[in-house]
Amino acid sequence: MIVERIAIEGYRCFVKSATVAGFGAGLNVVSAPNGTGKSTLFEALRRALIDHHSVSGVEAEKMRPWGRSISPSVTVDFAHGALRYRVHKRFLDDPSCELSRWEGDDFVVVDRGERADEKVRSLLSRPTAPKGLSREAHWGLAQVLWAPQGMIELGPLGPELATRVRETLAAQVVGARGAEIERMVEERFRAFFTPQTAKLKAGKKAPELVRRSEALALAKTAVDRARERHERAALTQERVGALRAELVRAERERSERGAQLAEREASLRAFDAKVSARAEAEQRATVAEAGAKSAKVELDAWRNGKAQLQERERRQADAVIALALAKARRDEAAVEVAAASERESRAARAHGALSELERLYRAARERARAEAVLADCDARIAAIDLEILRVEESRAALVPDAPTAADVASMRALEAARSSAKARLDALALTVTFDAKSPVTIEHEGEAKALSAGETLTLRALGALSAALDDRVSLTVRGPLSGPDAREAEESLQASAAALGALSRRFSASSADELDSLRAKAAAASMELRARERGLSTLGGAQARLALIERCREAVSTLELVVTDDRSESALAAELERARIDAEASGSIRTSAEARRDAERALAEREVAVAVAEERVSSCERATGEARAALDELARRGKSEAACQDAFERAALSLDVARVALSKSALELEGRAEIERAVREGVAHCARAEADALALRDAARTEEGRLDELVSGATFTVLARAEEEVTRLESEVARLEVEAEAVKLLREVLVRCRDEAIAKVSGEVERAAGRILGRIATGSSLEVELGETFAPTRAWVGAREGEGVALERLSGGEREQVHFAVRLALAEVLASEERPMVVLDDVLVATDNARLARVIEVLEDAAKRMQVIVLTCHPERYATAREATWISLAR
Amino acid sequence: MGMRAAHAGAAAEQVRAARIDAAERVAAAARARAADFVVLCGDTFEDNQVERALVARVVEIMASCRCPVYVIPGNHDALVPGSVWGDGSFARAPTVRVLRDESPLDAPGGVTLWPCVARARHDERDPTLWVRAPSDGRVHVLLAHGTVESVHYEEPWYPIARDCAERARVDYVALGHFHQHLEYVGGDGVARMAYSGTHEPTRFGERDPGQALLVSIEKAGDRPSIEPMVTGALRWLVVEATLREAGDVARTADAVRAMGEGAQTLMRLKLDGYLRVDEQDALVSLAEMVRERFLFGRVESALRPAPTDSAWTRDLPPGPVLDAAKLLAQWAEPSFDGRPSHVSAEVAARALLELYSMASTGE
Repeated sequence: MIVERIAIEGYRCFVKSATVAGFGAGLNVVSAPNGTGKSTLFEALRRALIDHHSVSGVEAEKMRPWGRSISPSVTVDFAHGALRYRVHKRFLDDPSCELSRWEGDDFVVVDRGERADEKVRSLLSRPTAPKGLSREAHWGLAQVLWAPQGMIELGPLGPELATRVRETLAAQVVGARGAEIERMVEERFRAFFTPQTAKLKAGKKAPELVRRSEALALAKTAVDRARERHERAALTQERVGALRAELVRAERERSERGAQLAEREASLRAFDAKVSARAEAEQRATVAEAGAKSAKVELDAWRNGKAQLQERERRQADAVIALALAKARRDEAAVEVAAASERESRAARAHGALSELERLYRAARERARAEAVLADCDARIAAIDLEILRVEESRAALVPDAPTAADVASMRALEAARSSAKARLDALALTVTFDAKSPVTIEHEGEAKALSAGETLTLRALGALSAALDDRVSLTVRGPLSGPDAREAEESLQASAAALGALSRRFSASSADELDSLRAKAAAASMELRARERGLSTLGGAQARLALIERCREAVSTLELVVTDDRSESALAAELERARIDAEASGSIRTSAEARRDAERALAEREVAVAVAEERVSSCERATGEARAALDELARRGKSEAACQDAFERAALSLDVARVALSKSALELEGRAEIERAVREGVAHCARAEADALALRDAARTEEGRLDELVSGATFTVLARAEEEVTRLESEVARLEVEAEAVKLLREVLVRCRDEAIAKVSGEVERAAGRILGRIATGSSLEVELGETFAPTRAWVGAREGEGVALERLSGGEREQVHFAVRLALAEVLASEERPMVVLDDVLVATDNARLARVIEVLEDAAKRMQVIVLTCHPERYATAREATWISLAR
Repeated sequence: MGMRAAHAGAAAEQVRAARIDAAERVAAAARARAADFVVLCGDTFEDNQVERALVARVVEIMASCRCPVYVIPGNHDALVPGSVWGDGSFARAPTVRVLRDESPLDAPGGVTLWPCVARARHDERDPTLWVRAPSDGRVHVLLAHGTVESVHYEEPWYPIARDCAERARVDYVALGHFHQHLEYVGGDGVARMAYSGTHEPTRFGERDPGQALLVSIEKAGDRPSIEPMVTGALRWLVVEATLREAGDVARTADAVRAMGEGAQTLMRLKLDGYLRVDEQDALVSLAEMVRERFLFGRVESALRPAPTDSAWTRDLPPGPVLDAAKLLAQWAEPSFDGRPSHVSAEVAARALLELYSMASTGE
């Protein structure tokens, strides 16, 4: 925005219309002495470009010239981009705002009122001021670009402005395409969430997720209702089941109580009947007792007599039986005596036979043992004799003076010496061989030898050999003379031959091998003899043989003494076993004899018993006769026994019946009070059981009714469908939740990455401010740190090392220079799209002239990219600004 | 019947309807094979509080078997006050007999039935202990509803011993409760005890459901002949695919397509692994195909952008957007442990896909 002209009227000190025009696009220095209205002009500019035309209140009233009620108005002509605009605002009374645009030859109204306010603000700055201008934070971009009089210090930027600054920085780091993606992410985020709280949107613009979640909540409520109804049905089922079971129990109880009561009432009735019956029974018992007594006296007389007779007859019969029994026992004893005698003689016979057989068996065993000893001794004697014979034979086979191994070795040495001597002589001897072609006789050393055709003869001799052939030829062959070797060989030959001859003669062996064979045979015969002698020794030798012969003699004499028949031992053993069995079966002889004697004693006793029994029979016959005579006397005197018996039985029966009836009624008649109490309790129980059953029946019917109503509602089917709906919605909600969470996360991550990038970029603002400061304070560079809201917080003199210096600790001039530099750096950043307007109202008052000169250079440089308006009452301080447009309000 | 089918999503009603159709197939099989009788061993209904119209329809199907139908209550439709068994439609079907007492009764074909009745939803007692069949030359069949020992089931109620047939001295034990077909071979090597399983598959992951058993026993003591007959129609398929290479999405789509038309099929397609930039559209098409081709189709994707696929970030402008994409790609990797605690790999992957989508749109 480039301000070209400001017209003001009725505004504070400008009561009349005043116009300030001629602003250049670069640096403008507006000068005026104090009280001329520089700051008023600056305020009017702000009101025109930023404030609402309808602003009111105490602060707004200050716009009126003091003591007047006229309405202030401001008109500002400005260029924005390629267009020129004019805004005219009238404040307080009948406020208005009109925005016009230059269209060829005149300004034409574009907007009026609020919309014109908004349009102007949007051209100047975004965001727009939300309220009045009392707070810098509400100035929007002007908070950075405009410094009111003496207020160069840049306070914390308003949140929206800070955001704007960040966005501006972000746009630089994000780029157009990145910004488009960020916009889409934001748009997508806002489709789900509110931007301020990042909570899911509600109301008409709520996303599908919220609507589905609400539907899910409703569906869950429906499930809860359905489940509650279904569980109620289950509970009702249980209650009905329990009530039915309870009802069955109550009905059974009622029935049992009724039966119990009826039983008790019957008992009471029976009790009363028994009381009247008891009196009759007592009467009957008295009569029966008298009759029974009378009948009993008569009957007892008959019974006693008969009993006496029967007793005596019984005793008589017993005596007769006892007599017969005694006789029978006596006869049995006689038979037993005979049998015992027979058993005794049989036992004697069996034992005799057994003794004989035992004797024969022992003799047979003795004979067999002697025969065995005899055979054994014979065999052993024969074995000893055979062994003695073999020892003799071995002894005879022994060679006397047998050659030893040394003899054999000597003979072998001699044979070797002889062979060696012979060989040596043969080597020294002359040899002549005659091969006869025709028969010839050869004479040598006086011995003639006739050779046939084809025969040969070899002659040997030491030194010289002479021979004659058929007396026709005499042949003499001479060789070298035999020396000491020949003699030694010859002597050795003769000595060994002599020694060999002695040995041969001694052992009758012609060679060493033969001699060795003789030695081996002699050694074998000696070993055999020793073996035989050991065998004989094992058998005991001659001493044992003598002992055996003695045992044979003893056995023979035993055989001669033993007398037996011709049965074998085994046959006798079998017979002996049978005889033993017979003897055991017959018992011992002594036992048999004792048994016989016992039988004879028993017979004598039983003879005595027979005599006693015969005496007892006679006595009983006499007593029976007496009793029978007494009964005959009773019969003659009165009633028969049968009549007496009949009369007594009838009376006794009547008496028993009467007594039983009496005793029974006596027992049953006790406890009437208890029965009456039980009846009363029974009545109460019955009533209670009836009431219980009735109540349960009613309760069961009520619950059954409820159950029918629930069952008809198919609670499970309803629940199942509701749960299916919940599951379906849960699935959708889960899907949408992931989608929403993903969008949220995407935005969160993107913001995080952007903030990180911006943090890097905001360093650029700090560096730009540092460069400006460096130009102002030549020779000593300054570094600046900006806070969250872009207000400078610390500074470093020189390199940015250590913790730096808090801004408050800088000098007033340095401090205002820092703020100036930061404002200008921010303006540079924000000027990326549109040329901004910077207004400095009498600031940098603490800056010395040297630095101010460099500040002016900085401003001139900045004025290439922005419009700078400096308001000052000291125009001389800006005298170095060669390219500035000078405007004097004094004019 | 009348089961809740939340796992079938919007196809829940069709799933319930399919069970009615399957019941009709059971009845048709009984007619075709001239069965002496039919037994239902509990849990005929999912709950006692199902619609009474459904009860009437089921009774009508039972009555169409043209032979006696013996039914015992199970733990889901236990014999309690207000149970389905009190519905009037049972009284109007003379061939359908609900067995309410533990007492033997004669059935056609010289058979004696020993019914074990469930009277509560939960019970930890063996319901068959009362049965001791006599050796009278009749064929004895025990009807029970419960959990045979060693069967791992989420409802371990009404425990039944494995040697139930031997102990009760019966020729066959017809079992209900477990949803899958299962036979038990006794010590003599003969199977005298079996779960038929549900007549129609119930959920994903079941083995051998959707059958009824045709059981033939010639005479007492004979080996039972157990012939499974398919009565179910719905297929519940779980397909798992791990995408590793380019073209895996298309290959998975081909595999799904090769499974044929799916009017009777419910499918869960579980995808894991990495998604490439150029396969996003194919993935969308695959998801649509799964949804539209089958009675019920759901794609459960745990896919994440392939970390080696630079295409995810190639076209993004440098600066914060690219930085954000790289950060999200890192967080989307499940094995990465530097992720903030409030961020899941799934959400990070989804955020990256969103960013990529926006970047593609903005070009």
